[in-house]
Amino acid sequence: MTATILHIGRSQPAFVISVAVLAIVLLMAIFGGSLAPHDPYLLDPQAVNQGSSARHWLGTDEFGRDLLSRLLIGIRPTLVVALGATAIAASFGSFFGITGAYGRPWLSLLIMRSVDIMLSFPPILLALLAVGFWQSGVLSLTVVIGVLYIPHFARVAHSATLQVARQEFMEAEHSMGASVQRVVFTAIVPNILAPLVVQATLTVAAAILLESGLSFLGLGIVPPEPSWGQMIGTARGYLSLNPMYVIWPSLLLALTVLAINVVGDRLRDILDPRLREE
Amino acid sequence: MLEVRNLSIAFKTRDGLRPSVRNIDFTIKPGEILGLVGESGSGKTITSLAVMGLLPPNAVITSGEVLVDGTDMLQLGPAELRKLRGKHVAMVFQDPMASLDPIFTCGDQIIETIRLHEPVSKAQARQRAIDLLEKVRIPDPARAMRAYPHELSGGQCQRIMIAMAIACKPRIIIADEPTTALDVTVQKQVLELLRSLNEEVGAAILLITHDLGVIYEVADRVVVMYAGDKMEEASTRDLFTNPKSDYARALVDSMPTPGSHHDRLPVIERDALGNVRGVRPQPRVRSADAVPAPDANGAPLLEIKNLTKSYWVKPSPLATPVEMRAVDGVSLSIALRSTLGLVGESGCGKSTLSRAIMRLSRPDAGEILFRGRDIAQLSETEMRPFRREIAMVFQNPYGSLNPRQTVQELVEAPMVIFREGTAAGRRKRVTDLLEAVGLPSAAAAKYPHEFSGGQRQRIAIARALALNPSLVICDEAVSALDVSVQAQVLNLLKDLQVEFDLTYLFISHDLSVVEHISDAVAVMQKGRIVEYGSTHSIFNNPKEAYTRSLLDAVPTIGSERAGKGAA
Amino acid sequence: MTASIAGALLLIGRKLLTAFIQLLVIATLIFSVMYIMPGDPVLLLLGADSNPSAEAVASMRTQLGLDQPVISQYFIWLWKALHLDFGVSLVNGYPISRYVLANLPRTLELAFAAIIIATLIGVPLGIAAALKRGSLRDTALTSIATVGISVPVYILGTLLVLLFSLKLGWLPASGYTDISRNVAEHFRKLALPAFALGFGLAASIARMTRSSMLEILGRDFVRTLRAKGMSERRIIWQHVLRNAAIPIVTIIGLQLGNLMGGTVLVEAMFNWPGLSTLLVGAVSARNYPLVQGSMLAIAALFILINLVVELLYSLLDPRIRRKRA
Repeated sequence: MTATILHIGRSQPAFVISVAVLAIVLLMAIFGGSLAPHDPYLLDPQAVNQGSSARHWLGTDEFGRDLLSRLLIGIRPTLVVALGATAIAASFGSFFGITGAYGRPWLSLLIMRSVDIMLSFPPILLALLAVGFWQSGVLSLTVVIGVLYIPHFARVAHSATLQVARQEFMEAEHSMGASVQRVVFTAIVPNILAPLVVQATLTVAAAILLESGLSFLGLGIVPPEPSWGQMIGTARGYLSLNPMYVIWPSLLLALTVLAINVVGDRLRDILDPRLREE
Repeated sequence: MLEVRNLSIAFKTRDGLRPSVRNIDFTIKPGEILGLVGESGSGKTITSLAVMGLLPPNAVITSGEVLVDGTDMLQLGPAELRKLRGKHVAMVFQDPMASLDPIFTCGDQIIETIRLHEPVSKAQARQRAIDLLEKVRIPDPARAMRAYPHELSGGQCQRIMIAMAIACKPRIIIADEPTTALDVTVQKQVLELLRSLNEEVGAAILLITHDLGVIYEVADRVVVMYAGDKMEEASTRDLFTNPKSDYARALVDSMPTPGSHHDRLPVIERDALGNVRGVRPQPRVRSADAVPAPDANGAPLLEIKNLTKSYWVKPSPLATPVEMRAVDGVSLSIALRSTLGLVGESGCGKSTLSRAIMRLSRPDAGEILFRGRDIAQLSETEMRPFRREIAMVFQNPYGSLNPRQTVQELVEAPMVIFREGTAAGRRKRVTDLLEAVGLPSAAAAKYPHEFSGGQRQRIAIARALALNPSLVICDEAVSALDVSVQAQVLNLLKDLQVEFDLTYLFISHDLSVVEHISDAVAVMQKGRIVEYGSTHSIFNNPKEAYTRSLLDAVPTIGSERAGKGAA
Repeated sequence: MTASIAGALLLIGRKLLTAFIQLLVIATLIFSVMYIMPGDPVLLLLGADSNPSAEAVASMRTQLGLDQPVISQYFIWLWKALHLDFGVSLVNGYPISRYVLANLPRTLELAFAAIIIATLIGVPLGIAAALKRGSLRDTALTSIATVGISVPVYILGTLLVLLFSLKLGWLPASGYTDISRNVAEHFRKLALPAFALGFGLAASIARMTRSSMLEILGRDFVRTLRAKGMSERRIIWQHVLRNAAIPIVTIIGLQLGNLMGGTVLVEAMFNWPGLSTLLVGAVSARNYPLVQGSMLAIAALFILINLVVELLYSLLDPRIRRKRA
């Protein structure tokens, strides 16, 4: 066991670092509030837009709030939205995708046509519309982003199911008189899990980008609650005054998404049966 | 002239070099066809790739020479090697469709080959390409020139490949399983073509195949390989009449050959010292408490009357769909405890028929009487009791087992579906079934990918028997297996028929296999049964022209070679 | 020959029809989303604070056609939209179509500049990585590409501004100059947003180019070409690349959604007066007809580009061009 871990560590340094980054991000999302050296909401008109100092390690924002503290709590809403949205997209998307591939022809046609049309529209525009007119906040962002990524999952689940459905063991199940539940849960789901897991990592990354993009535009997480995307958006107004203000959240956000993508790539390599058979 | 001397090839693995071919020698003279025969994993394809200098990056040549007219190919640099390839040594591959570039027309690909090696104008090359297509007897060469590979059939693509191979009048042609992907009748045409071109062009041909029948048809001499070693080199005639090595003898024996009706096929075994020999196993003894011996004359278990199943296909995107009758008024019956063989070439509708009987699809018209009850139009619920009685063994031993289930879960699946027995009872039954198909009980905890093709097919058979069915449909059940493994599975099927009182519907494109196992045979062509009768009468006294052409196309071993070949 | 021309026309006709139906469905979707969204445009227009009289509200409602049943509202809206009449802005009464037509070419220009930049960077890098699989060069390029797809467009844009405008002072930080007024200035202002938008796309194109090159290099026909004695260079340039072009064009097509999404952020941060700027402004001002009009225009643009990609795709692949009869 230890030997295997050591082996992975030596041969896949990027993967190991990425997993570590994600673990840290997760810990920040859970314990960020109690780690914060200052009250992240405390205004200090005396210390506006400062650089790094002994008191404020990463400096302060335009209201004199401590940047480090705000960064520490700023990942939680983003992560909650991303994971929640992925859960919604994965469960409904897989359901629709499998039904679209395995269900009655008219139902498949209906589902897959709707998926095509939804896919033909950039998610951020629909999100913009929904959030702009409805309301912002963690819950609505989660639901909206989750719904927007249902078609992506549906398409992946659909094509994976079609591939599985072409296999002879599906005919074998039918020839034995297997029920629909049995076919779905013993034959289809275990065999399409790999692409779905990969799609899930992609969706978490995309949802983080979408949430932070909306927050960047001022349509996402509502101030004074911070999120990294929103901090970047605000910091853009103070680029020449306090350039490090924009650098810190940008770095953290980019690093997180990068780590997810690296892990996702690796998972795809591990789970791709074509690569594994060799 | 091609001379391979003392060639050894190994694969790089994490644990060092794993030898794959050991000390192979052979020589081919101009105008000669040398067959290189062996089962999968014997190293025959790797040998041919080494000759062309096309080994995959993880393979290394550890010793030996490949002399083409005296030049060692293995010592040449890439540029010199390229000059020889295509011009001096040409190659024909197994899967003709995949071996052609899909986005260029066939004509362009032949022209390109010519112009790679000869300084001729495009127009001249085009004319030569058309001549070549005529030479390989493609119908309508002008159309074939314009066609993309996907617009031609597999046989036609292989003709294009052959035209490309002979384009620059090479001295040596290497053909790697050139007919394996083709139907019997097409295979015969392609082999005849190879033979006549060989006489005309005078090239030396290295023919690589797993099929002894193909060797028998066209090869002058044969090299037999097994697990990387050369077992025997002999003239074709000597190999079939008087094989010297044990392995070659076993290989020749284990082929079910028309006319030699044995009850059991010999199988190949390897003893502790690594020596290979053929063994003819005895039929398994029936247990005393079993029911009486089979009778082939009793009431039919399955009777099919005028069964029809059509598909609607669009000939072009906007055209109205036309009816394609995959199964067209088929009538058959299978007596209890007998075997009906159903033969036909790909696309003849035999798989559609088996799926209709299995009620994986609903037939358009006709009756399927199982023990006298028509199941043709039953709903899935009404069909349920019959699913206990009819089981199926599929063609692909890799595809028909769910890779995510253990053997235990796979074999007990029918019992789980019918909620039979307790978990312990099912475990016991699985152990018994595995024993019946010749697998150890430890196999139950493993996953399918841990088994070889033949073993997987045994697992599939065990699953089919789980609920003691009376009818087992074997759809090309041994087609994907090597000859010696095929012999084992055929023997097993025969044993089980006696032991479990089974009735078989045995579907295959391979006439010799069908003759070996069947009591009665039906020949299918374009959705219809063209001939139907006892195995003996069909094989010895075929009445229909189509049956005769099928039988003619089968490379027959045992008859004299005279009169075959180029003519 | 005539048969293949007829086939091509048929294909184009079918794609056009599909695109039209898609647009119709999206239009319906936009209309219904706007209809169920909370907020009353009339109150908004009259100013909710000024406490408008009931008569004023009613007359405005009639004026906007909002007193009619939903279905007829829908069909009137759709009929007008088909004639490029999206109504007037609630803010200043200008026809929406004038806004849309003014801003549409700017978004199109930005998107095309980004696609061109992305293709010019992505394809050669992907090929370079694939040709030396497993080498240091491959590892470096693959890593850069992974970073490229991970950095959000607005972070990249911000960093670009920080570097090229604030530190180096080479390029303007934001804004737009019409090409008729000052050509050089126009392109100087286009450079940063186009590059910010194109970089992520370049990364995914590079990744896709690499993996499809590798996939094609493993196909059987490449072995045939080698057996024919063709040089490795010619195999790659003449056969492998042309085969790989099919999946590469597909990925560019699939990435268009992200690209159009990216324009929302890029236009906002560079003050590029395109359709997305129009849309974001309209959403903030709750200017309903303008939201509908600009959304529809973006959708139409997106579907149009997709159509072009699909036609290009079938041009490249004879298997699609000539469906077997």
